[in-house]
Amino acid sequence: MRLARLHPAAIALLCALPCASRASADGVVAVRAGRVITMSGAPIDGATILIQHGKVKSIRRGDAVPPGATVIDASDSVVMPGLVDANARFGTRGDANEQSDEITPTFRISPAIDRDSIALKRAVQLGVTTLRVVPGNENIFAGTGVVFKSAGDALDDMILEDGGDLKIVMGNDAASGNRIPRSARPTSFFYRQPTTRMGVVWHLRKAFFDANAAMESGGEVGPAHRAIAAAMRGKVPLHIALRTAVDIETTLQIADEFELRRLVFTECTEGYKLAGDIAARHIPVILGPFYYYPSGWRQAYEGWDVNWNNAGLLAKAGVKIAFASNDESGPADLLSWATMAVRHGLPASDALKALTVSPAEILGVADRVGSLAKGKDADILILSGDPLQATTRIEKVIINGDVVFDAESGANGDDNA
Amino acid sequence: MAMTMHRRCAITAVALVLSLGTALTRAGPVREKIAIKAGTIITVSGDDIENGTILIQDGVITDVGAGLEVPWDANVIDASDKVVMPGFIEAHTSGSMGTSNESELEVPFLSTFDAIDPVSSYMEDALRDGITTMLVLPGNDTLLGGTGVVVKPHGKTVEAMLIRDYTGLKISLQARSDSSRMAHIAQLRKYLADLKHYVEEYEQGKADATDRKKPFDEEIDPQKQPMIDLIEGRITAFVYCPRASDVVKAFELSAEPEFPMVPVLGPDCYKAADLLAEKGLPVILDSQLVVWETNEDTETEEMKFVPRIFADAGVKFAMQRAGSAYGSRYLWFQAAQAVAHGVDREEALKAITLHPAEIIGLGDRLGSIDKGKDANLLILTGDPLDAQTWVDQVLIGGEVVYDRAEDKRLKKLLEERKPEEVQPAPEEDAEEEEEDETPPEPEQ
Repeated sequence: MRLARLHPAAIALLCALPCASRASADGVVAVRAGRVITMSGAPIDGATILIQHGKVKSIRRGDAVPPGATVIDASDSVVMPGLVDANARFGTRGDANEQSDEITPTFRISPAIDRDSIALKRAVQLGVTTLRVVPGNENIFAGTGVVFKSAGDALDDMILEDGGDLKIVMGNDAASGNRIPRSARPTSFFYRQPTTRMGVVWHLRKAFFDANAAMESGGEVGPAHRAIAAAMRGKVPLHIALRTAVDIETTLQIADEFELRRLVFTECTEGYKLAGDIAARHIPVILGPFYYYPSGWRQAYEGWDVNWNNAGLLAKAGVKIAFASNDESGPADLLSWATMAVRHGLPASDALKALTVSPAEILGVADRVGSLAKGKDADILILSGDPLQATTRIEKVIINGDVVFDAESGANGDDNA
Repeated sequence: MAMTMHRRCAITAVALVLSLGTALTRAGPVREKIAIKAGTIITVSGDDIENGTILIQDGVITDVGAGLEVPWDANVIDASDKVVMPGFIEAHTSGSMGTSNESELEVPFLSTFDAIDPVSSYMEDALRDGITTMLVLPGNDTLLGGTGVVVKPHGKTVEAMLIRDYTGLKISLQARSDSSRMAHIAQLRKYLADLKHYVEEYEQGKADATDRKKPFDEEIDPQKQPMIDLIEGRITAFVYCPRASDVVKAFELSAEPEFPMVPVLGPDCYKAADLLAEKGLPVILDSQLVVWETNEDTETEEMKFVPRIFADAGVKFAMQRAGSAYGSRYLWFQAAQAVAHGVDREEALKAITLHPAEIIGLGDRLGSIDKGKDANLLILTGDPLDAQTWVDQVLIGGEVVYDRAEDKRLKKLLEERKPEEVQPAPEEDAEEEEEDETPPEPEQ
């Protein structure tokens, strides 16, 4: 019996949601929506979404539902696809930085996922239904991420893609953690190279060179070289964490030198300075985290030449952008970040894409998530109004057709008013 | 927007002051009549007024309403496609001061007046974000931190910014990391007991001298004066309570000797909402609006939205803003979030205008658009809680002190930067000459 596999938390959640629907194996759930932002076409006012077997069965104008269907009334609400956080660093147990080596391309973050983590439960309530969790920022080749649903009965079923990318870290982040003690100045004892930006680039190029040489040698090729070579040949995208224009330029040079085909930039605080170059090479950019930077403040310890409209300027240049949390401290309110990005110049339509369909495309999972259409996963947010307004809140979150969060039954729901 | 000639001059003057960026003396209060024609007036104290007019003279609102006659000699600001509301008010901030906590724990005699940096980015941002008044108090990490001042974020010196000196005495119930809560609270208790004893002895000495018809020339210890003012009700304590249990302590400590108090609450203090409602005191909420709690029975994470809990409990509150968080550094955003989570719009707007005005003791002068109040006004491009609305102009005392059209830094933060044109290298002697004569670019 499937229920036996349910985690106690999930059972408890179900008990806590008397009005929530959990579709039986062939039951139909109908979401009557005031407005559906499908992201697969134009928004539809006054539509009903039918869900069966965790997938969207149909989206039709009107409020007709088949007999026996469980109805979720969102007729005064706005419905949109669940958010896709394409670069998350929470939901794992322990340190996500392997300290013993700098080049760990075969390391996977997936075994470290803690499905019961508090951060994942919060992410659901912030509207994130799919996320890609990545290894930390302290290795040059950090390893590979995993794309999975933020809630579900079993981890195997939650995972959409494991090992479908390779993460590289540029700039000072990769050089940090190599000293003992960690925070000490470079005059102290060195544990290993690199401790500078120069060193990071040298080791990165060496890794590419060695992988190429190994592949061309005709001899036996080790797994690390195979993993790097596969990314160099575009079999999986290289996700490159960087912030400054210097690192972007350097990365583009290295991309030319080694004919790297599939790059994705993450964070990319100063991307606006090279928006044209990034657009010309069709490199998608996963932005975040976002902080306000008063003058003299800096993001981490680099990338302080900030333009509030980084997202807008990249989008204007034709770069595919996505919003992501990218913070070890936990999930982010991506809707608010997108709202502020619109305030700073990003068109609203681009902001909605950057929350849903664009990250799904960047992660290669757009056939399942990121938009609402027949056959796609029924990952749905029900919102009290325009998703890009600070006066709007998330009312319900649905993953695979199951209501996994309901604000009304939550601690602050309207029922305790 | 149509402008009278005078308005244009005012803007030019403001731009001139901004662009000079040097220590110019602030212009005096505007002794003139101004009429603002507004598309919508959000009075905060009463109903909104559509297509209304605000009349201002000598920096004070003389009338507000629909269909008012504009005096022939008034300078008219046409905001007929805009929204006008009272300036935002921060009832508690330690911004602009650099280090806001003294390392000594008992320093009630310090004043933030000595520490405010008028040309800090904090002040510049505050004005840009629509804040017209703020009570600057010491930080949350000193037992008796000192007294505060009410300022406007406009002026080149603290004197020029000053709205009211000597307002609020900061007490923090947050124990330092190297101390225990027991010791922290005990230290405050002891200070208050000693102080009471000191005052009694002083009064006794004075009475004895009077009895013996002898002169009494003993002076009050100036380092104790603010605390004496506190227990004699001449100044209000702003008591930082990091946790709900500290709220109980704050009430206990302020009962004997009795002193007036405004609780400044940490996010956890929502658990004390009922107690605070019972006491009927207005409070200052933390900038962090959400507290996550693990329900150990269900293993679910419960999102507690703090302002909603206080609103439901019937507690009057002022909202604070966060330093570096992307949205919540704006007071309008904080109010909008409150509305999103079910707080009445009127209450949410009051939490960033009228309530903080009352908390800092200036409710009769600030916080709403009413006859007799200071003309501290925001001219907004739309509804204040709409995320796409911008502060177009800020008036403080009837004077236009911020104009978005002239805000160069905002432009720089938002606009595309063109690649700098390559300048031909000047001849060497010419370059030297230039260096000698050209003053450095003023920082804004």
